[in-house]
Amino acid sequence: MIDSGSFWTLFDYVDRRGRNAIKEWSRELEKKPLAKLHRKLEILESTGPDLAPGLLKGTRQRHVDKIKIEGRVSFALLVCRGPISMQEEMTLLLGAQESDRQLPPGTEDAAESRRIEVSESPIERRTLHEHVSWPSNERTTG
Amino acid sequence: MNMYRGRLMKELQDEDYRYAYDEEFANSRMATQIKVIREQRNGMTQAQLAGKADMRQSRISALENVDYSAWSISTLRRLAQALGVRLTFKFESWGDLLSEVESFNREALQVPDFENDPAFNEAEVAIAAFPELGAFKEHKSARDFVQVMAKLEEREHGLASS
Repeated sequence: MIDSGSFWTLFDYVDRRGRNAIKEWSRELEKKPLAKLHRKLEILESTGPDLAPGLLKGTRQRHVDKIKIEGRVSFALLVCRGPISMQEEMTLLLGAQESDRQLPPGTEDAAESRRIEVSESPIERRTLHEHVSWPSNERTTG
Repeated sequence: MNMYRGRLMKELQDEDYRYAYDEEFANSRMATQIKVIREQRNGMTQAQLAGKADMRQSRISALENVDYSAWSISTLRRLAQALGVRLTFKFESWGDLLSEVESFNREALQVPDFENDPAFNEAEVAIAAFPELGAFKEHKSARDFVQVMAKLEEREHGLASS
């Protein structure tokens, strides 16, 4: 089965200036939300999007889902399948802080725009996911 | 699969980090395991599980969500009985977390119900009663099973006539 033991490759969105937007966002997270994000990304990477129920929650954008990070302050990481290889890749598009359990206006549309960018220029617009360790001044790839 | 062990060994050194990580791990594992065991029961639906556990389907749906965190032991006990498994709760060492992280997959989360528990199937019960039959334990063919049962029957007759 797809969700059992097969590894998915995670990518981070890279903006037009060549910056890894997910790494930049993750570096700003406090310790606890970062720990929770790490675990959810491990599940996504090690089992894919279909085993753990509710790991990916739908958004107004059909091709964009979000991973929730619950806590005193809640965050969401917007992601998409593929968009190149739909059965073995996920791309992390945009991180945001929620307010009253709602994403800031325009966040889902912005994520969809990024998904299209990645779809059109995967080499330039994404890179292999970079794990931002705690403490966040140390980083490793993968 | 030990791709996370190295970095976890380092990041779990921080107390706040490790408790937050473990909270996420425990919540997502429980939600996933309920779903996995339910599907293991011949594709039992959420509504069917809800009926067996005397809950609403919407409640099962809420529990089968990695972001659910308000677990109660009484609810888990009801689910355990509805799924035919036992609920265990105990304190664990942090070292156990490492191996549990590495074995997070569908197969590892599945649990047989009592009727399908290998420890309680007929051959195992026979072997437990008559340990000398243990030599047959590794043989899976029907022929070997027949031999086990024949030996068991022979032994029972011997006991009855003595």
